[in-house]
Amino acid sequence: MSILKVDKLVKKFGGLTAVDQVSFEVERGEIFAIIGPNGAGKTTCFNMIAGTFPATSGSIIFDNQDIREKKPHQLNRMGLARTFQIVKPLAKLTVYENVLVAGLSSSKHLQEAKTRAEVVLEKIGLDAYRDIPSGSLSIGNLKKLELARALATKPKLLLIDEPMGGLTPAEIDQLILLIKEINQEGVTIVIIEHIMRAVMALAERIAVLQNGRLIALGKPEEIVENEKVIKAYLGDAYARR
Amino acid sequence: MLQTLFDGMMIGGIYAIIALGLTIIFGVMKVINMSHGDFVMIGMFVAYFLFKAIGLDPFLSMFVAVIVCFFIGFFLYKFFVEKAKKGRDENTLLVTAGSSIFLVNFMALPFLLGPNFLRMTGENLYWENKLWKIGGITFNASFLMGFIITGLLIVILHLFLTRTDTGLAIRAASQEQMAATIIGINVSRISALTFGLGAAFAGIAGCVLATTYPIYASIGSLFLVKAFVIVVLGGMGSIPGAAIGGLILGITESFGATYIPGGTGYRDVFGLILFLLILLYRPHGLFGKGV
Amino acid sequence: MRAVLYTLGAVILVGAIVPIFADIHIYSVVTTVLIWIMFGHAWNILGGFTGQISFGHAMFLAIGAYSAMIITNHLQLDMFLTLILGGLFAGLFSLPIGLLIFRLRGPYFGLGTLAIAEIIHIVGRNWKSVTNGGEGMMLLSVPKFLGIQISSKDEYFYLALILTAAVSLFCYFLMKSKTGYMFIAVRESQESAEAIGINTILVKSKAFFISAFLAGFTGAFYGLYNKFIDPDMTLTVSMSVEMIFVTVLGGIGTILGPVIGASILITLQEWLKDMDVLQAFPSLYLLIYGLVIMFVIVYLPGGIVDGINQLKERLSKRRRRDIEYTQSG
Repeated sequence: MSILKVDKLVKKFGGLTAVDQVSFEVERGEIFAIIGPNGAGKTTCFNMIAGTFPATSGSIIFDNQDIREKKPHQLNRMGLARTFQIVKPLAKLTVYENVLVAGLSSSKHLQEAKTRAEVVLEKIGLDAYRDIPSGSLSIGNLKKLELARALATKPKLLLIDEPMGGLTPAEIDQLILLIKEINQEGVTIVIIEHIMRAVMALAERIAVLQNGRLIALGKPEEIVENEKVIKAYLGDAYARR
Repeated sequence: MLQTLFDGMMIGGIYAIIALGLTIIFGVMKVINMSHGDFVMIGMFVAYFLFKAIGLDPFLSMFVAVIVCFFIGFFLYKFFVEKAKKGRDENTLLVTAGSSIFLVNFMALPFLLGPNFLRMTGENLYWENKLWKIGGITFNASFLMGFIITGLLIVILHLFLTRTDTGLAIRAASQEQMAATIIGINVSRISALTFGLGAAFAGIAGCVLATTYPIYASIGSLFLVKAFVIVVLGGMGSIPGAAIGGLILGITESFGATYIPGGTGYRDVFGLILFLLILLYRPHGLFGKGV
Repeated sequence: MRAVLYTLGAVILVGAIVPIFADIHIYSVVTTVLIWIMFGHAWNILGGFTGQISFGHAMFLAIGAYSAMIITNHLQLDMFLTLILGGLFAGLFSLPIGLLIFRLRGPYFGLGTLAIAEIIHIVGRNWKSVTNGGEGMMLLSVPKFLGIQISSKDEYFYLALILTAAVSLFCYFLMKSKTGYMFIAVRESQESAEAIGINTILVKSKAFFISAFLAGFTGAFYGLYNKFIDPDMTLTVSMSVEMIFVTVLGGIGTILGPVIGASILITLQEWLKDMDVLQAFPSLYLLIYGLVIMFVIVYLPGGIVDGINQLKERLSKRRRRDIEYTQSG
């Protein structure tokens, strides 16, 4: 049974169609990747699913509920969390406070959020940076903090937007493990990523977008062999790496 | 009816000069200058002082007022506003609120304006209560002059912004400060220049208003509020918007005062409500794009 | 718990020292300081902790002050109840305003609040049947706080001291609570806050309500203490701006900020007002005041609290360096 079902999703910005009739389903418990060249409409899709802005048309079903009219904070409370491509830490707060704050709305009282923050920080491996202001973290740790915050909200479905950008190869390996771990604990994951090594290591299924359209959908090995995909995207990407 | 319309247009023209100053400052550096109205007061004082001291006509004092206001504005920006810009968004609002308190009370010192309400009068003052009749319509002479000056200023400002290097640099800085810096524009100097220019506009308006309004230290806030309304009406940072917004406010006020019985007490409320509504529902001004 | 002890200590200290002078003038200066600490706290909840810089808090002050005067003159309710009602009216008034203008961000929010406060100012001047217009309103009866009659300067001083301590502690514990953390999340990034499940409109409305409540509560006290109010004492932009200044000077977004800021700024004002030179030039003290504000915002944007923290940090770094130096040497 699917946890997320996107059907004929369309987003128009003025005359520009950023997302055009995109449909896919995400199964409960899987890691689902969305890839595509820059400007393919991946983040726009995320923003519609997470409620940042409304879809022009189409439907989004999350956990058997139509969520097209829902606001970001409502979706979060329903168990749909997201990270941002451009990290948005609460810069003046410490790492610990950032995660604490993230756990507030899903906790009955402050103490519960505190305990949860400790647990999440340890799991993500940020406990060493607990008391430093999040504004002074390195980019790798900021990306982890984004994950930690999303995780603190107790999500069923986690949308991760380009977590690997700007990381060193060692950090990427770490993050891959971390995302797998999160997934094994029962969180369904949808991830946008450019770095194919990470995508191939993580994804059980991949959707490929180009110019706002879904051009392929399937298992990683199918995607790699898909003519359209190679032509549109992977050919270049692989050649460069 | 026609008389009311023209009365409104004349005062609206002067409002427009004040608003032009506020709007170019906002346009270039996104700073809302809370002490803008006080530069009008300084302009009024310059006109008053020069008239009393050497009998200079207020329309000639304008040139002195421009220089005085320009330099005060320039240094206010250099020493305070620029540094405050590095902090939170609201810091510039607070620092200019502070400078407003400073300017008002500086001018309220006894050897300047003192606590008095001064009136510019004298036998050799041509403009005092001078009315010109043109085709059955009575014009307040200094306001008509002010209206003409507004027109001239808009033309000059337009030429300055489109034809001169400095003007181009100002426009570049208003588009994208970072990019302007990269292509070698000294954004700090340009911003200070614009701040001075904006203040100078207020000074010009002050000279026009000096012959009809009472002159006292805290009169600036009256004009500040009007300039806010106009700038929001015409779109923050828009020059034609400020001109048209000025006319609209002037005409609205003029008709309101003439045709709404007992409306005087609440007269200023209309402008404020208009201001709020536009801020809320048309944040880019009446003529700009909606959200 | 430490905060409670510190506050108690401060209350006992101030409560013991001030009466030694037994000077009406000192009572009134200290009471004014205490009142502005409370106004600072009120503004700080919304402006400092939730990041919504209001330029119109004078309207809540005025609602509190006018309702307290009217209640005391006509109904003679207990002063405690009167203050609470003053706060409540202000708080309730904030709700529709919040819904209207919370869509505005940054300086635009400031301008919006400024405009609304100015509208209320004009209404206050013209709605003579309620506010008595520009002539103002006298306090006609002596109020009782929980049965104790409050009328002389020293009685008001003790009451202000207790109320200020209570308000300070309330703000302290509020900011340690779940709600307090949510305020800060909204201040730091509204988008992030939404993404972690925080209903930002609801949180901002809460902050606005509490902030307006405290401003109205303090405004009610301010009105009764002055025994006379008019629109110029309650509804002008300068009253709104003063709440900002005491907070910003002390340290925006900190509990100690309004306490330190009001103590310094109000004392400075009263001191300047008393100087002989300045009495000859009544505007000179405001001129200096304006300059102080400008310098603080430009050169000490985190206020005095932040300045002290930076100084401490620098000192401890130097000490650490000294220790390392002696160890290696």
